Amino acid sequence: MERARPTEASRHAEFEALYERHSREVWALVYARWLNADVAQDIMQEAFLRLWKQWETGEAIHNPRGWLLRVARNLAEDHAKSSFRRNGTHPPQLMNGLRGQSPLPSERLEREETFGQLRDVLGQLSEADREILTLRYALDYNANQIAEVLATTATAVHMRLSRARQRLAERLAAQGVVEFP
Amino acid sequence: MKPLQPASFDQGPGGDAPDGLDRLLARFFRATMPDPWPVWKAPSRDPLPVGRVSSRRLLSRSRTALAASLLLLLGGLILLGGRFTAPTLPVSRDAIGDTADKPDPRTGGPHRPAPKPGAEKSHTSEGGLSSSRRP
Repeated sequence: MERARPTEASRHAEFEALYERHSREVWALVYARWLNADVAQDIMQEAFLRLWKQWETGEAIHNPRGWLLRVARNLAEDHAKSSFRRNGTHPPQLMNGLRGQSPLPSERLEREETFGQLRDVLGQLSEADREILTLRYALDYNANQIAEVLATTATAVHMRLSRARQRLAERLAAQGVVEFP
Repeated sequence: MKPLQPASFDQGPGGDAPDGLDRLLARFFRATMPDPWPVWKAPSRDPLPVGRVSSRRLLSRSRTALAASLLLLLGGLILLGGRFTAPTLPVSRDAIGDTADKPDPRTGGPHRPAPKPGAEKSHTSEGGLSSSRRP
């Protein structure tokens, strides 16, 4: 990033644009690691905070997206070692991060049950499978966009996504989830 | 409600006909993502003035505590030093255990300290000396 003495306001605006462009990707990759929306949000914000500190020192970061994704992956790994993780404090599995448009209680219960089962099955998949599924369905990315984030080819993304979906479908069927609310 | 079927990539959210799994995944992730999305707020460079005041207060408190504890330590040293100095007043004979003129509670006679082996020898030598005084 080459910056020619930007003003304070323009620097803020530039950084906000960067945040708007990449924060969801960062969140998605961390979510794919931990399947925890709160942890993903915390780590995403920490990654951007670190980038901001670098930004303030005037140090040039030529690929902020790559930098952010790398830092977020490292932070997600470090999270495994933290005391919070060791203590095993998790938010309630079925209720975590669920926000709807006030469906009926029975419908909500059914949906939350299915989401809970889906979360369990996602947890059984590999991290690579979860990454590709999260980028595809959380961010609605196409094969080229996913390939860019994961530093691979669109053909590989097609193949990997298809296999990940296949594995997910088989495991859901094995758990008795054959219909969706 | 649609039976679960494995589907290809093209049947996903951007494809023509999303199947049940696609819909489920899309709904699941939509429900999981933060809504509204958190806004970036740059951290302020300067710490809050409240923080400054409190840190100053903390510093002055710790200095006061340090000064008070040093004073206490010095005071204690002075007091204890005064108590344990060597006595300058003359000590009575009882205090040093001299009971020569007191009667012996066992015999009723004057108290004689038990003779030491070295002391007997000196008597003998005295005798020797006295005999040597003989002409």
